[in-house]
Amino acid sequence: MIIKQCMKQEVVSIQDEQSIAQSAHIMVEHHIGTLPVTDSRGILTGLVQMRDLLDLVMPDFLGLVHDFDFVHDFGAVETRLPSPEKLAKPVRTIMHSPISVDENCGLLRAMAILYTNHLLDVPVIDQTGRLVGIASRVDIGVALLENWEIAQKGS
Amino acid sequence: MSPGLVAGLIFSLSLLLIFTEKLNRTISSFIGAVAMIGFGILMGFYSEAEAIAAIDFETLGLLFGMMVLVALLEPTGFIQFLAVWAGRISGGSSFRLLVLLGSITTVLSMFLDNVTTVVLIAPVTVLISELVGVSAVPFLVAEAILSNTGGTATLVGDPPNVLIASAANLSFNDFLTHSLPAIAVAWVASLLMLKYLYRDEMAKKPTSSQAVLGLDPKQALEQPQAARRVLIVLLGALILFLLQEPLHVTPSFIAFFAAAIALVWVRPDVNLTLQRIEWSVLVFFAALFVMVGGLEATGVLHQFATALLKINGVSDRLFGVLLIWVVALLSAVVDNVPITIAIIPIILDLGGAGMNTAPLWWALAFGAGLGGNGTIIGSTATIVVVSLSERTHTPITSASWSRVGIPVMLVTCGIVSAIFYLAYPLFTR
Repeated sequence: MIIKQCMKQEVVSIQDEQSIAQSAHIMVEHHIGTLPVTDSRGILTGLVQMRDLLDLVMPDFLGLVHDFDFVHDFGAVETRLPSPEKLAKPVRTIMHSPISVDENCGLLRAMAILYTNHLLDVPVIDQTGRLVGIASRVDIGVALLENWEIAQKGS
Repeated sequence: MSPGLVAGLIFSLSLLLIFTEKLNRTISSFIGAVAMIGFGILMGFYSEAEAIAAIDFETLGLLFGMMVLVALLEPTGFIQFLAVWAGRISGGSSFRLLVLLGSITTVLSMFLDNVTTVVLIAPVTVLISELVGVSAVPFLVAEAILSNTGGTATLVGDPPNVLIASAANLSFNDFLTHSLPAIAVAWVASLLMLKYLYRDEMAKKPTSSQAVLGLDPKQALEQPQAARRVLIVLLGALILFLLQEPLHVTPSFIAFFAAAIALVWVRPDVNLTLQRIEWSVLVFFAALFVMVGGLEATGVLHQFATALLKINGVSDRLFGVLLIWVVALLSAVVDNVPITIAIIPIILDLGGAGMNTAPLWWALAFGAGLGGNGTIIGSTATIVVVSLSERTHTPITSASWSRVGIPVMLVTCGIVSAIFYLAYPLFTR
């Protein structure tokens, strides 16, 4: 099986000049955690993950102390909001370089790419670089597990 | 070119590289040392044997022994425990937090390496500030300043003091009777100045001061048993330092002895412990000793000392005050260790020429210890705190450092100068 057969074909995406606030809005509206970024021609140019947005309010100390078992209440950080100036910036200022797979990519290879890049979803592109779909860990994982069942029944 | 000029050029170039940060300070001093030996052999003013003899193993030994103790204390979480405890009992009050964290940093810096102290306290400081909803900058700046100040008080507190003690044969108690009282006054002044200079930040009401009640210091203490053992050994070492004179032992032997006991008692993974030793600092020191040894061998430092002796009309008392300021200003722009290592032979020369140099050692210690607070690059503790703050949303900038660092440096140097001038007879013995 290849990724084209298990991906979602309707992809919610955002254009790179739209704002960070808009990217957050789209994630809320569609209840999704990964937002592919495209240019005006539909070519994949980047990726915004929910984590990139939440990093704007995550405490600085997470990167400085190696554990925080002794902190039972996040206090002021719990209600922290990103600044309006930051939210107004274009989404390309926080997006990552586009990690994607070709529509003919095998499932296990696609899963390995998700693992090594700590992604939840991977965008799927055609040969021209145009975004044609997106597949989550569950989409790919379920398709792989289905194969196990088919193989067992066959034997 | 005369040997003196060549040696002077090598030393100045190394200092320039350290100052401009074009090259890591250990590498800069290392190539300087190699160049000094190379040119020394070529031009016949310095030999390999002399270079090795120039290395002060008393200093390196004391630093190494203390580094082992710190390396054993570090993973126990004891220092984080203290910072978290300070956060909890501050009740979320900014000034109380400043005093508590500042005092803990000072006391630790008096006995342990300043850098390790701030490296372990600063992250917890950022954490507490974020929880209560205030800027971490005043606390971080206070920790760096008070760490440098506290370190100046004792023999083991900072590297220049270790160097001075070794060169001038000063004991741990000498520092307690000469340096500690003056530094205690400067410390109180620093704290009051920090309170005044950060009055706006201190007046701001934390948004959630009750969050500190959710801090559990005990959970921050990762290895209570090892922490207890290392602390007992440190306490034992402190007692031995106090008894150094009647026991006729050197500080470096005490540090080695304590490190040996602690290693046997804690039995850590020795590779991990040795990895925590700051080898780069030890190499930096050794290289500087070799370099300054070359400088000394050419006789330039002696010429410099002779020139100083010819200055008329300056009393010894005023000469000491001038030394405090010259060293302080130099320490503000370059690392205070090479400055101290270069000035030591000059003072020894002045002593050889019949001058009472006892007060000059204290002037050197005061200048080297307090001068570093003036600039953002003046001390390693500051550099560490600033680079840590760069990983937060509110980095310490050069301007925000100078707003506080310069007045604190000027006032503290002024205070110790006044004490030095007025109580001069006490520093002559």
